[in-house]
Amino acid sequence: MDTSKLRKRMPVSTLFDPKIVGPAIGQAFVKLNPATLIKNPVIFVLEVVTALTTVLLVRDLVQHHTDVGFTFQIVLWLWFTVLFANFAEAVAEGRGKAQADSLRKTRTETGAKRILMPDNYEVYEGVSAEDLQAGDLVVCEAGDIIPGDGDVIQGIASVNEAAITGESAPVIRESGGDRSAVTGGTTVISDRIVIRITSSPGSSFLDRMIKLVEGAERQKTPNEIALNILLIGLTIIFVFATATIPSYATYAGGAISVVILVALFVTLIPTTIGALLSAIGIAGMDRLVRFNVLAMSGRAVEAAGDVDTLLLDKTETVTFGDRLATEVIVVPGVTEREAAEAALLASDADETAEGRSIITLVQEKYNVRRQVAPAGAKFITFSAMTRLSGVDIGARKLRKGAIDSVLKFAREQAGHDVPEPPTFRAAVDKIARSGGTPLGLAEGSRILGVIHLKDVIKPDVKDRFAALRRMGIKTVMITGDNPVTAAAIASEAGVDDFIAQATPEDKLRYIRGEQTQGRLIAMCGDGTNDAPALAQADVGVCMQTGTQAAREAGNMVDLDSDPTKLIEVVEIGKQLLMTRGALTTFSIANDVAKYFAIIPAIFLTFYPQLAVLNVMQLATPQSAILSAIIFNALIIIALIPLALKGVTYRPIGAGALLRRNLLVYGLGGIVLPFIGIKAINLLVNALHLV
Amino acid sequence: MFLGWTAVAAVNPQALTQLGNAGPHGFSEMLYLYTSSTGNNKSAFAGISANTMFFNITGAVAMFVGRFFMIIPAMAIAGSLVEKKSIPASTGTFPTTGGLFIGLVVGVILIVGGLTFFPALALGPLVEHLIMTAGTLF
Repeated sequence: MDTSKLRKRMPVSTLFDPKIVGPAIGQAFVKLNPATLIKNPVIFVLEVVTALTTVLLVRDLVQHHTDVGFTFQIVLWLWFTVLFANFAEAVAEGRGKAQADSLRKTRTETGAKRILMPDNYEVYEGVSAEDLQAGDLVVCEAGDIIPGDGDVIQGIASVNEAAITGESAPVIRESGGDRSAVTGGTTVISDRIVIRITSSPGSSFLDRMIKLVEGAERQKTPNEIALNILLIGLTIIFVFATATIPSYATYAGGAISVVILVALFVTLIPTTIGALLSAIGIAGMDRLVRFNVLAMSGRAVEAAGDVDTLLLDKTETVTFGDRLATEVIVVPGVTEREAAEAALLASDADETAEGRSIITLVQEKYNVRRQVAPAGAKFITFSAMTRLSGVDIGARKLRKGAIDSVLKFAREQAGHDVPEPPTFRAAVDKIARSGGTPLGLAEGSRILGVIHLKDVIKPDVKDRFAALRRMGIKTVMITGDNPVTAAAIASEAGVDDFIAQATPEDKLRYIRGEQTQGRLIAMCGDGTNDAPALAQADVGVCMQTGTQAAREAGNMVDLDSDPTKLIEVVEIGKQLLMTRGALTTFSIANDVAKYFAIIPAIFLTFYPQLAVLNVMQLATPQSAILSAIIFNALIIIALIPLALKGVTYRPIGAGALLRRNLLVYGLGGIVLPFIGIKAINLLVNALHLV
Repeated sequence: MFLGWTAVAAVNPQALTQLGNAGPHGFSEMLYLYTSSTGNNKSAFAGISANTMFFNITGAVAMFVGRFFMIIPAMAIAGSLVEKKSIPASTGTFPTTGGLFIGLVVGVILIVGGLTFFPALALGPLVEHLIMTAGTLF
């Protein structure tokens, strides 16, 4: 997937940006508070046993035991382990805060013009943006910053949304229709609109996103809760495994110091994944924001990782919203030039995109120059009743429009039934079958030809659909067009399936159908009529250009209004789960090597024969234990970049992906600590630390 | 269960008199007795007097919890799985046939089981083997 085409709004900061690392170190100490640490059970247990050993250390110091140096170093490194765990979380939160700050900058101290009387939009008072409540009406004119999220209820204006989306081209916001939603912090460029505020202060879209990115109000997602239960279970098992050892030692005729037992316990419990779990979750949300997607909850992102089907609107998502003219087909007896000139004149005053595209087509393809309309020309604008538009120049009456309307016009002009020219119907059918719209062209009672209006498919869309298919996601296109047109567009765009002549109820019904079959379905939409479907879908992505109702109904907003952005969302969702799994596997696999370091060290005094288990040939029992503890602490720091960046996701099937990750993190997790502990042991002995 | 009861027995003087063999072999005897009680049928080594008050009562408790009480959580898991929706297979599904799945299950059992019981095993059967090859018998 080519990420270079996607505009990333936030700059990607280097992983150890000093501005973030500094405060994070301070935060690591603040987080030592047991009341906050209890949210992370594994690290909390670690802190408890570390405190216990500190007490023992103090006792040893007071009683002048001989082995104080060793005990002191163990306790020191245990505290480092707790601090490193806190540091990991603080770094992730720090990066989130940096993004939140840039989001917050868009919410400067703005003033608002609040309308006093609902029936008089001219009288208003100046208030601060924070005083606005949901339901207030405000006026915004050229140059004003929109004070809060809301709907346009009167007027039309062009709005610069660069503060939120980074896109510098202004967009149109108008009352009624699908483009009525405005976001707080954007600037009105021209004209005047009246807005009804829909969010109370502090809970606007932007506020919720900021809280989410900062990790302040982050709730644990179902996957995190399940993983936490697993980790707690493992910790309990290891408590038993360690607590029974003193009795075994007594049986064997000796005693093992509590400090050593604690050391064994600490190396066994999954501290690595316990330390990095929250950092992974926070970093995942940040990555989403970097792709210009605002998610309302971590749950939505995880659900996105498992999506099976994607439902897309045709207009504005698969195709550009406006149709473009691509050719003029003439009937026998009419020259191309004649028809082209007629089309040009008939479209001269046409303000629609279709009309302008006809003018462009005629100028470029048929080389007819646009001339000033002759005096006395009367333009007929398009009306939904006649479905025709055109121009009357003197005695010439030129019309273009729906086929049957044009035929009717020709008949009226002739006064009698006019036969269709021979190839006319064939051309019309051909255009309809290929997915376009035929526009008839007539002068007086003479049919001149057909103009082919085509739905233009957005350029990259086909590749993106192929990428979705590789991930195992089915794409379905929904459109109100007739089945023939829909089929043509569907095959050209490369979607897997389509639904034609669809009403909003049809969308809802399809989503429910997929869900009863047990599939997870994602939907992209922007209009208010999409809101029920967006709410029902498991993952509802609303376009930034959509209405307020659609945004409230969905659980994500795409600031780029790109429907295939779901690819990135799915990737990040899967990445989150994969990273957690990979680091859990690594953490548990590490334990194997640590056992081989510590068990011989502990029991050597009772049974010297156990030295054969000392596969790493560690020098003394004490250096072995110290090396294992040091490794345990350092591996957390070493894995922070991986936790923040996430495991790379490749769109191969689940089996292949698992095999690959198991090899890397499972086997690697078994092998790496052997090397690491041995290396640290060499260093410890060289420095005569023990 | 096995670890806990073995620990109790290792320090209980009454239990220690029942052991027929000393040292690591004795330890292995106790370990095996409780392993067998919790998971199987309380078979035991020949050297240990298993039919005594201490081992009978403690072994019975281990069996009750390990074999019968465990039924409750297992049924709870089954009950919870029954209520979940069944999702049709796709490329995102992990295949439960094939070498990868087998390898994964075996690996997890070995590693997690190994991690739990390694200290006890090291003090019992493992060390006894090492001593035995050096010539001493129990």
